[in-house]
Amino acid sequence: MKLTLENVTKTFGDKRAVDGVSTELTNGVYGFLGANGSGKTTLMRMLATVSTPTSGRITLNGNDIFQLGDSYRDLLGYLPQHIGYYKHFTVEKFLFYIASLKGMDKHGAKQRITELLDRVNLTEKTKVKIGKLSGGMKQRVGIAQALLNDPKILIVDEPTAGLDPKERIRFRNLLSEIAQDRIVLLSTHIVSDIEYIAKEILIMKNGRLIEKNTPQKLMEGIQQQVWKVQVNDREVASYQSSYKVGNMVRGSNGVELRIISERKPAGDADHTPVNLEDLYLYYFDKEAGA
Amino acid sequence: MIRWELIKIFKQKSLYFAGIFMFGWLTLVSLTNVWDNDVTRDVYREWQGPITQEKIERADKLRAELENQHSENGYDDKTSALAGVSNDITLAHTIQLQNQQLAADYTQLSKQAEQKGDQLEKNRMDLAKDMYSNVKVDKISYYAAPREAIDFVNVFGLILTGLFLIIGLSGIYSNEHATGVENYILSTKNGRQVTMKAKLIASFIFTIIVVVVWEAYNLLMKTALYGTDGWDLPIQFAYKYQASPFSLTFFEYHLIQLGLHLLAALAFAGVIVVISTLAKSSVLSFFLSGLLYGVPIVAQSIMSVDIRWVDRLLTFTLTNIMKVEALYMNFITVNISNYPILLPYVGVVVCMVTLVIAVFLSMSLIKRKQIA
Ligand SMILES: Nc1ncnc2c1ncn2[C@@H]1O[C@H](COP(=O)(O)OP(=O)(O)O)[C@@H](O)[C@H]1O
Ligand SMILES: [Mg+2]
Repeated sequence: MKLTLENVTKTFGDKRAVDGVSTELTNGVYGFLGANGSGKTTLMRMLATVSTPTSGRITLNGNDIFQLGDSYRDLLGYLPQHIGYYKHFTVEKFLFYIASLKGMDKHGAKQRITELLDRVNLTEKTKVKIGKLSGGMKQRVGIAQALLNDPKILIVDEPTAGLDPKERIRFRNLLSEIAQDRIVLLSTHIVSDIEYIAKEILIMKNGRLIEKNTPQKLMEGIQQQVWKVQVNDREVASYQSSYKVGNMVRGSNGVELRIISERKPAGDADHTPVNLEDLYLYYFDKEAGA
Repeated sequence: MIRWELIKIFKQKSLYFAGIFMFGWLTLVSLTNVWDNDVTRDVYREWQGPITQEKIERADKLRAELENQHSENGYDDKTSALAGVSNDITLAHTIQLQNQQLAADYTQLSKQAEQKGDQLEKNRMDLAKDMYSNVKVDKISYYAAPREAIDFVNVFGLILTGLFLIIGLSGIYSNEHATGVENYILSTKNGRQVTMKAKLIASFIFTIIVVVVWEAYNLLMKTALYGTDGWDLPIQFAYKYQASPFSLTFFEYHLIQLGLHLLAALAFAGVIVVISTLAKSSVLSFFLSGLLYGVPIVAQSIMSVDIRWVDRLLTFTLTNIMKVEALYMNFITVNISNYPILLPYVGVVVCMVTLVIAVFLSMSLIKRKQIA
């Protein structure tokens, strides 16, 4: 399976929310990284066919997905950024409803719902009205509904928002388990969500796709710009105002700062192995640096 | 899928609040406004049957007598019933004579039109002649039940259908947008066309239920209050239909009334589905549907006499067709080349066309629909 985006653009008035995105996606997990407003949701909506591109084309194995219509949607699992639900429906009833939207028969749906509720750890909430669930639980219902039809193309828009760290790990495991033989698109601004499971990371900025590569390659690319510096407490503020400062670790003899910078920030600065946080900082905090 | 759509419609609490309020109020109104009583019915029963020359004369005499006792302090039940029945008999006789006269006049007009070579006018006059000569107002019985039942349709029936359709259906799509469930609807195999089809069918089922419910209430109430006499009398006994050219009994007319009302209501339901699909919010959808429904009523009460063409145009609004009465009160035709078409047929065509357009529109809208 191959999803191809050709110059996909979406404008709202003068605003180019997605601006000429071209890329190819095959089986595996793709992580969309980008600050708020960078166009992730808009792009994913088009891939989920709930919104049409202003220009450009999206094809699956060469066929326009909007032309494919319902046969494309049959392959789809979509978790929107803001999960929609009827608050007076119970979890189970809601999932049955989505199952019939997906054209599943009642018996198959029943089995699948039981199985998925177990996977997202919501079995006890089966008969609870969705309106009464916490944000994280609702999000897990959303994840379950996306997976109901065992989608070949799974599009999840900030799926870990509202999940606590334990649930986040659970979700990550779930994803990496099912990622074989399917295309998974996941947007986030939390780097650790995709650190180990993403085949490739796509970096969005102002509607444009500015990087697409394996996490490894992307990190190698900024190897020369990640530094580690030991400073004392009083110097922290001054570094923060002139450099992009990432993680800070307080040690016995002052504070260790991670700094992203083209130039060596201090005489005693050392290179240090790059992680995805650095990558995020590098791409999305450019304004803050010198 | 239809089941799901019905569940969503019937889960709306506002429907039940409106139901309790409306039917409570209606019951109050009809119990405090009972027109007749058993005495009246018994008097009518004494006079029941074909209107013979003998009955007409007796009725005339009776009326004369009653007019003489006029100034005394009010009528008792029995006397007003006698006044009623004698008036009805005289009125029936008058209508009968008038219609004979009309038939004769129309024969004359038809001949004149033929001489002028006006084929359309000739056809119209022939039609009118045929219709008026078929109207037979020649029997009497107690008819409060059908009179009130028929009147219910064009007043309360109209209000109830409009209200419940707007409350029940204006959110049928816009609620999906509001709740965000639209995301799933637009991105799943059975979300678009299949769901829209289910929504349309569910809306139609809901419409039928609404009409059946208030009609059951209507018949129960009217039968309980007035019995079952009179359904076989011609509609000309009802004040509004005195000049009607249609030869129909109350029973026949009531069936037609319900049929036309339902057809127009189905078309209106279809239109609401379209509005709901287009509207950005449920409030807007509610408001627009209400406007579409209410404007003809308001407009008609403001300027019915003043502007003729507006009045004509309003005749063909769904609201007015749902009201039915205006299509049956007079001899009015819409003419297509040489052929006069009676208003009820035009009403049926308007409803069907609207319904087809609404179905087609909603199905094609959902095909292209995207999240705003
Ligand atoms: N329906 C819309 N109307 C107008 N502007 C929109 C709409 N949807 C998104 N935008 C704008 O497009 C840009 C991209 O938004 P979005 O795709 O939600 O980004 P992200 O998901 O990366 O936060 C933002 O500037 C947003 O304000
Ligand atoms: Mg977003």
